[in-house]
Amino acid sequence: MKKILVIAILVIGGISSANAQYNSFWSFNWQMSQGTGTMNEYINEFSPRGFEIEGKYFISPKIAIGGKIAWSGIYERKARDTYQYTEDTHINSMQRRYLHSVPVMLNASWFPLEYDQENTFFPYVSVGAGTVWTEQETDNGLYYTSKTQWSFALNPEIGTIIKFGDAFGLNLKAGYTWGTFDSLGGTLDGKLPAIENYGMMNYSIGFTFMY
Amino acid sequence: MRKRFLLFGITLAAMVTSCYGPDDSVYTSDLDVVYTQKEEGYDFSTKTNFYVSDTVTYFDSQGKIHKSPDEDGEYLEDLPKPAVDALVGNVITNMKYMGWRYVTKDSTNVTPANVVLMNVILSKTTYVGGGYYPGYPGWGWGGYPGYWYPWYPVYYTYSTGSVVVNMFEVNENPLANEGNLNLIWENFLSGYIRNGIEIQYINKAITQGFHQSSGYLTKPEPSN
Repeated sequence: MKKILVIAILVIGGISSANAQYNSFWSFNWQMSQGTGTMNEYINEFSPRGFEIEGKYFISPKIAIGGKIAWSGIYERKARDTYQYTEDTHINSMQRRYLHSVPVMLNASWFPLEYDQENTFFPYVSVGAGTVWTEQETDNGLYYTSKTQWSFALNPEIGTIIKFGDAFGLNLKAGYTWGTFDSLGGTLDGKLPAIENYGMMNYSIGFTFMY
Repeated sequence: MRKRFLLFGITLAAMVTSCYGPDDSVYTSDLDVVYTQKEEGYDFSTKTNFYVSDTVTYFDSQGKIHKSPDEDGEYLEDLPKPAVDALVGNVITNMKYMGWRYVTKDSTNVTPANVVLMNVILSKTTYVGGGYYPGYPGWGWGGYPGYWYPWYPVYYTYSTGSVVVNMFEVNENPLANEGNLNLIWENFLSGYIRNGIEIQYINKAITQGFHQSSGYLTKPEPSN
């Protein structure tokens, strides 16, 4: 079974790619995130919590198509404060804010340098489109409101693979995810903002292997 | 080869570590919430006097309702006289600070329509059903004789370990109809009662509730 799979990959690779040696790669990345725009106003924290799995398949020596799925969690704890929710309602409490994201993207990548034995660096730029699942939660003490949604998202990325062996490398990249977003409501005093768009910078480092 | 496995191991470890939750450890006091709400669109400018019941209503850990002091003037062990006086006194201080005139049962020339009635409720447990106003102070409405009406039901829910300061307006003749107390403002402290009742801690939170409602409760400075 394994042999058949390898042969199939080699055959497909031989037909569609001039890169005789490798046609695809997988990358397993640790992902760090920080919101931008109103998402950063909602949670102004850099989060090291996240991971990402991506695969790319070369349709020419410099062009690959692929996809990725990732997960990230950002969190901020606000000191006790008073929030005005409506003309008639005020809440004084600690506030904890959470945003969990699962982007699922299809993407196309351009590699200006072909993958060969000479180069250590194998840079690329990608453009992705897809969807991002999010869970937004705001806690005031024991009370919380939360909302989950799927929204449309775009995801440009820039990165490089640093080879340290024939088929292995370190993947370093930075990406931005923009998407539509239907936020939980904010407060009248603006201390709790509503998120207008999904906006997230992602920084990834991971292990890549070619095959 | 070892280098590759080492790197793969590090990446894997980082990914697994990243799945752990953030440091969002919560202290019980973090869960304490001071929630205030007024009746939608209510205009407080029509009221200038306030009365505070000198009886604190208390739901014990079994959900049983008590009054401190009770009809015989006996105070509860959990709410002795100094505690009741401190709670009631704090409400009076806050209301006076915001420019309201304090009236008592003995005050004369009190127009019930110009008075708000306030009371303090402590709950050690979840209680669903009736909240109570411990009694109409007894000012006469029109030709009715003033007397101490014992027990007004006002229905809603108190959650575990909570303190409530209520403000009611008197709609019509309260002596003729039990339903004539209308809740116009609520200062709800969630979580402020745990094992013991710490009056200073509670009073600080009650004051916070007044403070965050001061935008609409404060009386304008009298113009000379």
